[in-house]
Amino acid sequence: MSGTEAAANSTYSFRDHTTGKPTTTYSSAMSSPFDIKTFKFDTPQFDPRFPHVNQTKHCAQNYVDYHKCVAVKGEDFEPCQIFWKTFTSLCPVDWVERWDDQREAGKFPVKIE
Amino acid sequence: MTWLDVPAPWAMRLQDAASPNQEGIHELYDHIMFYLALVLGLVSYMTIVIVKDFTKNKFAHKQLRHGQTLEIIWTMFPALILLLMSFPSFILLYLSDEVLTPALTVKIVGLQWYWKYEYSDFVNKTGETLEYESYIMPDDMLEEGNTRLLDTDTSIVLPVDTHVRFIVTANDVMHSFAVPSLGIKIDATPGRLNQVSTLMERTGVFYGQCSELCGVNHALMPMKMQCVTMEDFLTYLSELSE
Repeated sequence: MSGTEAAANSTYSFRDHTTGKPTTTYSSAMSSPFDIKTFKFDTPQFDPRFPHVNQTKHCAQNYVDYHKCVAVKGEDFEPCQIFWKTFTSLCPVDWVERWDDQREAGKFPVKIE
Repeated sequence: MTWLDVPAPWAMRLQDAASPNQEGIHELYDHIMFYLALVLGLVSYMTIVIVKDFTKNKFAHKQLRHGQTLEIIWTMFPALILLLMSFPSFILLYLSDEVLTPALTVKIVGLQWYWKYEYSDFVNKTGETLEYESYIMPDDMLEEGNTRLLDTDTSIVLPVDTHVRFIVTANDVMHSFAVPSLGIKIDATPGRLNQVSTLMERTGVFYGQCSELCGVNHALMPMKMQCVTMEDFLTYLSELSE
């Protein structure tokens, strides 16, 4: 199960980026995750490794880190999700699709295992 | 109160600011204009005095070869003026680059010749990222009150008083994402993600145009940004995620 499929589950949550813990969890039973009473913004925060305008490596590093994390700890390991949140928020959808294809074909330039 | 958020006929000055960055740019503009007026006044005065004194005076300062004091003054004075302009300019430049505590990330992808917006902090019911494309409104579909070459079919919708980070890139050739009301202009380069942020202080509709020559339809890929209240933004997101 890839990260995208993980989010496709009926339950999804927003995470606190400093602790990586879920702040609010929404399930399909609830009306909408966009309810003003419970809504919370969650987006990757400033990372001192990538202080520049150019955020290309911020995206790429988190994509690699997520797949390395999942390869070692498995899909269900909660702390891996912070990498997933970061790279999905930063990387264009086209890039992620291309990299997923490359990984499946064994042609991704970074060793994941 | 009516804000000047669109180009107006014969408009000579900048559009009204909607973000602290653009307010800073206005302030810097006024600051530099002060020195500009000062230099213009001084140079005009000196030119007039010199012309007045030396016309029809063949022998005036016949023996003058050089003047060290004068050299020092006309070197130091422009240097000082440039220094006085550069400090506020650099402060503003580096402050504008900072992306601190963003609440929301929006990806902007430039393509020949339209824009694609991705709200990847949020997913729809099937788990896919919220994304859509934005094309120019063709002339024959314009309605009364629309702005030609600026209105689009869909727009970037963002909440007011919220730090927003834009991740700007392109998929084919270079484009440039620009919104004058917010003081944003950043290149969209294929293979590179550029980051810029804004904080919109009032609701409204802001326009921009692609600012890097990108092909025949370079003029036909504007960007339209709607700044709405938080309630409206969440309504928009939930409609988008249906």
